Amino acid sequence: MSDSNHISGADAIILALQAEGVETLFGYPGGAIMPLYDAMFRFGNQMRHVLTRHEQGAIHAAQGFARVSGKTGVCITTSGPGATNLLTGLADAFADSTPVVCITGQVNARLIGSDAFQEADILGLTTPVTKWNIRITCSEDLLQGLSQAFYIARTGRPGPVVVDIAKNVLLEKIHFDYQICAGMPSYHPEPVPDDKKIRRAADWINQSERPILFWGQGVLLANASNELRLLIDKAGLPAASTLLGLSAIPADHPLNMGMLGMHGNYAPNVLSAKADLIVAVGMRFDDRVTSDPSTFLPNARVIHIDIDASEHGKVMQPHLAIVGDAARVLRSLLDYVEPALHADWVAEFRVLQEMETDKVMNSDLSLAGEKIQMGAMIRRLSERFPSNTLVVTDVGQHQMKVARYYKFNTPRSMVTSGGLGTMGFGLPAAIGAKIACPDQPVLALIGDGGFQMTMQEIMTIVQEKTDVKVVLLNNGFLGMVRQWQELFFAKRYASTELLNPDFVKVVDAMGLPSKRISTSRETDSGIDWLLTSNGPCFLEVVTDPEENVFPMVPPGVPVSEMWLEKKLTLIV
Amino acid sequence: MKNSYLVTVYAHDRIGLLLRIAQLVSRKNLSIERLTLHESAVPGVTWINLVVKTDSHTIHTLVKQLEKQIEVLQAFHVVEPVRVGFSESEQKTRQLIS
Ligand SMILES: Cc1ncc(C[n+]2csc(CCOP(=O)(O)OP(=O)(O)O)c2C)c(N)n1
Repeated sequence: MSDSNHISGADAIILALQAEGVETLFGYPGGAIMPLYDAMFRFGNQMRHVLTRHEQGAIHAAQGFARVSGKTGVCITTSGPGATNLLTGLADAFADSTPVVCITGQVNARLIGSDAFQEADILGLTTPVTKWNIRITCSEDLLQGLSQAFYIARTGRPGPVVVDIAKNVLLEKIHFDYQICAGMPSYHPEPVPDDKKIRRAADWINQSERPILFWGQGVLLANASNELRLLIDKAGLPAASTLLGLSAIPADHPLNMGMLGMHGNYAPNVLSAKADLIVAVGMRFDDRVTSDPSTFLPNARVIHIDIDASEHGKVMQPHLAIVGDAARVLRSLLDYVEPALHADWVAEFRVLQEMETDKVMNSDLSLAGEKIQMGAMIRRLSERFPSNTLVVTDVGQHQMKVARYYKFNTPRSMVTSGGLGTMGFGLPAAIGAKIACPDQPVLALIGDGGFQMTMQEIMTIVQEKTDVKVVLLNNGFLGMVRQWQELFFAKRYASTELLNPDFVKVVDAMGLPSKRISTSRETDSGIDWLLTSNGPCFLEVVTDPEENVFPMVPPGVPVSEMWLEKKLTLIV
Repeated sequence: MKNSYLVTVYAHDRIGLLLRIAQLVSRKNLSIERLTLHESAVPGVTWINLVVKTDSHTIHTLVKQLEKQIEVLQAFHVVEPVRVGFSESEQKTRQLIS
């Protein structure tokens, strides 16, 4: 072996990333990772590096990138504070099963454990919020560690992986013989579904009179939207989505009954208690969906299909658990189910849908008042933006309004922080989404509280010329918390009113075209402006300050007793 | 009802393994009553025994989550109170691995 076969660890990482098909990196440099940045530069910046303004922004951008494209997002930071700034994003990606590989710098191996400058125990800190992590202190372990990281992040139930690399490894010479990982002896990401169980599931579906299919993000992760649609069409299954499952089936599909859970739709929540069979696909019975699990699904047999066996029985004990990839299981189920309509059962949904329209939607979606209502603005955006638009939200009332009122038509067109509910996620995630799908419009819908958590990323948009249309829904409050204070804490608005800057001026000063609207009359002209602006821009929408999100399942109340409107009961 | 459970884990050894296992236990809000860990008959494979006091639902979910970890080859628990020596299932797994 001649010396010319040997390259630095940093150069080897670049080549390894290229071998993995990585074209974009999101990151932030610093001491321990500088050799890698230098390698990027010396390689003539063949890969695009997006310099965010905070490492949290980098990982959320990598998440947004992964969520819309299905590819693994890659994030690079330095040791110590650079790496600790990733924690929120790792926890978010872990909760929402997002494939992300984070390469973090670490101090030189001989300094590890000595409280060296910018040393933090990243292996220890990230263990509870990663699917896998590894610390690499000698160069022989580098290539295998990287290939396993990519393999683990994207296979099975995806998730975030951290590769913590000591600085000496970046400088040492190694022989580059990178091999894409094709398997690991103790890790079986593709369980083979049990055909007998699938046949039994089909029998149960065929016998059922009042079935509902629940689906979650597992369907999107498995690219199983088609299979799902074919199954519900053939078996006549009314279906409802979790927050993260939205967009797998077009909003207007007649059997799509909307969203489950706390602020979901009335019909699927109420009728879940009447159902005799639940087919749950790629969802994990989060408490925002079940409320109190002991009161959830009192009359149904439950079939739970998930690739992650540890989800079976974690919250709900299913009557039939099928371990497997959603696409694969749904495809086999499709062969075994018989055509059915369940017309009477579907009619029950229609009655409740009308109640929800009457009591909630008609007023939520009205543009007649002076003040702009979030829901009305969102529905209007949904009507006017192209159908291939990718919508990214932050967390709070506006997020629930988007989930309820934006009509998603194409799989993976909705990106939101579900499991962790991370404020500040929206803006950087939208940047990642646009970079992954440059040909699709990207609309970021963000509250005034969450915007101020990561608003520095406006500069990333400007520097990278990322064409994101940012819509700030400004109600002057931490709206979702204020709603709970109004309903359950006798309107004691403790620390939820915000003194906000002049957002238009701030964003304008950062170099992004900005505009404000504050009356319903301006809705369409505001949207015209977004649609006709070339490149990224920022629209502040001043909304009704004390609007609420209904319907609602208050904490502890069975989902079947969901409230359509405000009640004067105090529950804390 | 709470019981003492003996949980056995066979896993590829590497830095951070015990941390990952212990963290899953503490996430279930359990404390580890006893813990032993040594190399198994197969070089590179660590054999971990731990005892926790909990109910049967929690122990089932814990063991499934342990089993899911990337380097874990096998994880299982014995329902009966802990005895000295090896249980039948422990012996079986030993044979399986060696
Ligand atoms: C990082 C973080 N901190 C706190 C919370 C708790 N929280 C949930 S929603 C919310 C209010 C969000 O307010 P805003 O961003 O203005 O959106 P709105 O609800 O008004 O639409 C808060 C504080 C959170 N989800 N994330």
